[in-house]
Amino acid sequence: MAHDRVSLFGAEEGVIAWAEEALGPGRTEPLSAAEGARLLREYRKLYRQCTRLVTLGDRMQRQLNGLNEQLAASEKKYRDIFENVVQGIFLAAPSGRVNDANVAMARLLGCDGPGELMAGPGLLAFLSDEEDWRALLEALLVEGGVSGHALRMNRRDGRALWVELFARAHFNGARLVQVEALVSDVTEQRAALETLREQARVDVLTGLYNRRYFMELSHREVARARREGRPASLVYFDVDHFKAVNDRLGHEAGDEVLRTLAALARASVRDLDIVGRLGGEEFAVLLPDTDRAGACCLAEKLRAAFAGCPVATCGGEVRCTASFGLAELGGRADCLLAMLRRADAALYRAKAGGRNAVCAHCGAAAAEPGAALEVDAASPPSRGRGAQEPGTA
Amino acid sequence: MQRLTIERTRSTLAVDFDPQGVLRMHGESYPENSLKFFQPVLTWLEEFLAAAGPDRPLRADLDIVYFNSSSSKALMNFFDMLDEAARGGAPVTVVWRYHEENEIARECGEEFAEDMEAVCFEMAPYGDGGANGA
Repeated sequence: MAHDRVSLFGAEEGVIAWAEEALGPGRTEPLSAAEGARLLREYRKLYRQCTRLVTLGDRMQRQLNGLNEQLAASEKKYRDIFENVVQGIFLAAPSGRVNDANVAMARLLGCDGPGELMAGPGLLAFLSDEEDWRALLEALLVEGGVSGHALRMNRRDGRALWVELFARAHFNGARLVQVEALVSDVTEQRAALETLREQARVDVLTGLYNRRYFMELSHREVARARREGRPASLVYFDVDHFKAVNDRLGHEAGDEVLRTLAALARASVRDLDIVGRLGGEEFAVLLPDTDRAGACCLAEKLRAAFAGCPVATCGGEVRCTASFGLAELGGRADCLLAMLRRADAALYRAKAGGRNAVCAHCGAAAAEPGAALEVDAASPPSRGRGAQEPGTA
Repeated sequence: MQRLTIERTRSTLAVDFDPQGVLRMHGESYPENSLKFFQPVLTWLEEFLAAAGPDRPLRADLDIVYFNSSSSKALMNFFDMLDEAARGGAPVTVVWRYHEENEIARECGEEFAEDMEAVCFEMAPYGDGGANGA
């Protein structure tokens, strides 16, 4: 009888078929010794294999238990990290629907828990601009991942939030199916940066732009005016006899004088004008869309206001005056630095003419260095009540 | 006789049976359908044993890391066929290769060895350098 061992249990099935016939009702003579021996041999083999299989089954179960424990431990470890990490973590569909999120992510967005985030309308509801989400998906499609990607969001209570994303895209073929991201709240850092940026632009004493930022903005404005063929003027001014104020009344009084002049200057210009403290007691205003006459008018107004405004200081009230030099934007070759040189020359004239005066430079397009010192004789220094030494009133 | 070669997959063994009498199998074995996988393997062996004379030497070189229950039954059938040939006078050697730290693979080999009457069953542990199936 053939033992079919090619199929898994062919041999065993063969033995059963044979034994059924050997022991069946159709059989008249008793089982021979050889037949009995065969039956016993087959039974022993079956017993042996059965024992092996039972051992194997148990061993496999043990192995499986061990693996399950390892898996559970590793799952718990990562779940703990996921739950307890300071950063927010989310897994979201490209639609913005949240598939999973940790507690930190929910807290970040002002939600009670991840459940609320997952049940809600999705991340788009928290974005200041939905276009930002599309831009993120676009970047993920191209790069597969992004790091330090800034995103402006709003908490549930409406408070603005800046976050930084480390995100990875999951694809099914070419289709982006999920975004996994680590999210850090960088709102405070952003605010600090903004403050620093502001501080880098502003003069602490007067609140006006500092020299660097005044120059930067004015360069831009002069370039624009030249490009568009529009006028622009520069008023350059400083406090008369400022050293005397400092010497006589102290630096705090001097500071108060500077603050007063700065406040008056700011109050007398339009929003689009650029006012800066260039250093010490020197100030400048750049006036877009303003010709020499307009600039003269403003300077005169400011001169009169300052001269007529007593400054209260710790050393008593003090009256100060200032002198003004003007330059108007000239031809094509003109630039801010050349305007400053001309305004400085005009200011020099105003000082030389007795201070508390406004003096305009005539040669608008003075190209030669020497020309910068020529002051239009036809526009003598306009003067108020005459230059005065500062003194307590 | 044709050489029998089957590419290894994640769940099935690599098979290389040479009619010169060297049979190699290695990998993991947990096929969806063990019968379907092992039928050609066992059929080849049966035909080989039928065609070969009683003193034809045969060597099985095995490195099987993991196998499920039905695969183990197929392996038992495989070993039974080898042992029967050995009892018939053929010099049959089984080399059971396993990583020295894989205790389960060692135990399995030892159990299979216990069932052999006439086959020369060699236990062949190897280190991280890997098995040299020569």
